[in-house]
Amino acid sequence: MPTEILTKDGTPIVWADTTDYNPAAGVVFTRTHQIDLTSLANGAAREGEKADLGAARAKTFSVNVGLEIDVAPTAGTLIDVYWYSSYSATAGLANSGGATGADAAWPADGNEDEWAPQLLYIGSLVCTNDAATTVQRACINPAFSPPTRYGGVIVDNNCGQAFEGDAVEMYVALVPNPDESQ
Amino acid sequence: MDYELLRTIIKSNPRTIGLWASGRDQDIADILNDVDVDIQVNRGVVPSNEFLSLLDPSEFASLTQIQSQSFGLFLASGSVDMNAVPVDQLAGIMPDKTKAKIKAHKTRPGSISERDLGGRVTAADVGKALKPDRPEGRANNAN
Repeated sequence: MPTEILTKDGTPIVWADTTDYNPAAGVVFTRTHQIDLTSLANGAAREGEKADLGAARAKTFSVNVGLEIDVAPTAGTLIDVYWYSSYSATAGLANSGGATGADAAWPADGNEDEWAPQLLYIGSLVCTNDAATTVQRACINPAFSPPTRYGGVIVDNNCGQAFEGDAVEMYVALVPNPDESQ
Repeated sequence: MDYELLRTIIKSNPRTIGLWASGRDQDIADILNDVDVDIQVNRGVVPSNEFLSLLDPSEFASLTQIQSQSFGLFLASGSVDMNAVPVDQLAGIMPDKTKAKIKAHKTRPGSISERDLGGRVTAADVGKALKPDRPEGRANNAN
């Protein structure tokens, strides 16, 4: 009998805000790591705390976002998501792209365009012309392959409008898709 | 782009004062790029056929040879910089109606961004200009 190599969904790694995150019914992601995207301004970016993807991890992860924009942006504008890599479990050590490994404004000097090329681009949410309370959800990369065990996400708002003034519905989720021999 | 000047404009314009704190950068850019008839900016280069339309038809038949030849010089180049000195000199020798049309065509309705910053602004420009006002990269729109 032939062996089939199938893909399954693992346990998601979810960046969201510990104070606010309380999504409505239908959102299946449970918060595991901290990022506070409240009121993130256009032209600003925020990094999430460093995560440990595990000594043995899935080769690929699907990356899903749920973001809420305060005032309707122009359709087609982008919110870009990046990955900072690290070989260290310590938050402040060995992070690419000037990341600190903590939930914080990124980068420290405010020059997003200068630092972004040192990150790994995951994907972008292509916005619709919808304001809060519409949460815009998308899989922005079906097969992202983090090169290191440790790292985190960075959300760069370039949609022309600020994010919603609370983080109740907002998240970035990495869902591991390990191959399984059956 | 002079971001310090852009920041000053945003924080002093009555139409944008209410928007910058809450992070509505695209709306701010749209306002600054709005064309307003009360704002006149240099027209710059126009094609020669547009320049030809400034010759008033009622004065065409009565042009002197000097006037006709001078006007023709401008048409020959294919385009005319309306704000160049020779255009003023040409206007000076043309009949009254044509002179008035040339002078009126030296400017066009423009925007705040064209007048004060030299060109259109984008939401990204607004975001960069307002960074000093946004600690932690946040707008002031908390619920």
